[in-house]
Amino acid sequence: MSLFTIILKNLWQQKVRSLLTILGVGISISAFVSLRGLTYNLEKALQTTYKARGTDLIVMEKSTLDIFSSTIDQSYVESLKLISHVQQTGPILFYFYAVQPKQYFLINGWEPGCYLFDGLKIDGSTLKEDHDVLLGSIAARRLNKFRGDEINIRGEKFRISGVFESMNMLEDGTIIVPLNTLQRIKNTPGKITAVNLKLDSNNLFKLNIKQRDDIAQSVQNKINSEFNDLEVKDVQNFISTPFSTIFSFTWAISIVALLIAVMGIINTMATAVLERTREIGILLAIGWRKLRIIKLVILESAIYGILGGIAGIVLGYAIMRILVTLPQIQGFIIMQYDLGFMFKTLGFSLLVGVLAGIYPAAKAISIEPIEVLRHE
Amino acid sequence: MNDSVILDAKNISKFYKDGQVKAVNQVSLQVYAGETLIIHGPSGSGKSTLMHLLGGLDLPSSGAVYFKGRSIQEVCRSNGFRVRNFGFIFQAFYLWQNLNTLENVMLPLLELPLSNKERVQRVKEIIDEVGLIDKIDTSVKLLSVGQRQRVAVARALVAKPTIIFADEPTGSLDSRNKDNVLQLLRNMNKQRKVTVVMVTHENMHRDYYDRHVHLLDGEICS
Repeated sequence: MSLFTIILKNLWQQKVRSLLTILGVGISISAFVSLRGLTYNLEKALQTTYKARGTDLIVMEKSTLDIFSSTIDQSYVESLKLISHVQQTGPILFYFYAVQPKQYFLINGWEPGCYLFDGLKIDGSTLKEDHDVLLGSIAARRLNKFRGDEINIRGEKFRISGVFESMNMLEDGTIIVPLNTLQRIKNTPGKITAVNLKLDSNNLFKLNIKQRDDIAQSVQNKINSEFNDLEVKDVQNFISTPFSTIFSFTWAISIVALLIAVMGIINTMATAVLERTREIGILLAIGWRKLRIIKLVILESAIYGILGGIAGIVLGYAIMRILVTLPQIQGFIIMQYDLGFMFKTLGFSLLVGVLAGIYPAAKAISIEPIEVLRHE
Repeated sequence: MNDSVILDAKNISKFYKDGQVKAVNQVSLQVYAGETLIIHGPSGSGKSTLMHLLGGLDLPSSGAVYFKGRSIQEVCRSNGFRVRNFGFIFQAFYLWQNLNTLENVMLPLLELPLSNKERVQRVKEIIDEVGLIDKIDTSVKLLSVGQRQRVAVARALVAKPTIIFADEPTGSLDSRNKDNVLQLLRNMNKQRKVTVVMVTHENMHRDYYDRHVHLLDGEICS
């Protein structure tokens, strides 16, 4: 027998209370897991898209919060092409439109023939006419449309010239139209959202990572010094900037959820200590050190944390699985199971349990055996 | 029993409510190694308080208790001292209801640096001695009151202490179980040479003890 045996029997004795506490912690941890998981997976999906295509830098309007707020003149594209090491450019225009009631899609306006199309596996033909569209495979599934069918965007009919699969599901949930078509629909002629830049350093195989980074940095410096209206970011930075704000929000919500978990464990453990005042008093009377009593209480509390953590991870991923199937989100988020994140969450849950055990443990060692005996 | 003093209480008093209540008043008492000493007295005479003071569970308002010549307060501070030297038996048993016989008896041993195998071995030996080997895996909730007190006796003895303090150990038992427990304690005293200090308000057969003191209103009167 060990302390662990006593703890497990304590938990088993109050089955309903133990279960409710674990569930309470689990719900809090699941909020953390699902929120963090959704944003993390979204960020990962974006990074995969850009990196797989070979995009090194993204040029957008200066001082905008995110790419969706950016608008720049298309005329910059020609100037950017002239910069040393810039191999290819991919101007883009983004917008969200409802294609069917309550079914919103990210519409990408791409210049036909630009390198952005290189990574697409198209079933059908690429964009040839102004009223051609390419549907990502997930978008096609959501709309239940096939190559040759028609869709309606803001009252205009478009022919689906092909259905594509790209490097990731995020992009497979979008619709691609010719850049000038989207500019016309949006009524923003000559305006684009951003320009993707592919540098020639990717083709120079003898270069090491440092040398490639130096080239990317030199191009960034050049753009920053020559174009006052523009801001250039590497892919990692471009994606993580808006996500840092999202992460701050998710952390704030998660911290509130975790505080609720801590309070739940404190409440359960404080009640348990109160109920076991006599037993703890007797353990102290027969010679148990206070340190062992602290271990007993904190270990029990930590077990609530760990079991709550496991429940939270299972519940959190279950919530994510449900969320990614919703029409409003489907295609934007890839469901990924991250073992590292799971272990970190478990570690965090353990910490929550240990911290929550401190107050009840302090209460437990404040019990005076003589008071217990005198009372009896 | 030999002549060496194992516990020496010198003029100890215990007052409550700013001295208005004198639970123990100027008591001097010596406990000899290997004896069974009965502290006898009516309810409220201060015998449990005296036992708590002798066992280092409570501090005297004045006076001092010495264990083998050292202050009891001082020795109780050292790790594992109480488990190795003192065993306690209470009228209400104070067992952990959600643990079985083996686990309850093993509780003091968790404080000692023993392997689990050694712990189980010791526990089985003592449970066998108190006659509960067939109940070793039984939850204490399912035991009779007599059996529960035997578990409490086993728990007090398992760490092979020098002294056992028993506070009204038969107070909750019927006459048959009373005799069984008293005989058990006497056997342990004789066979294991463990000193027994027993508090009781009941008159007891002379066979069950070596010496007795009578306490009245917190003072030893015989």
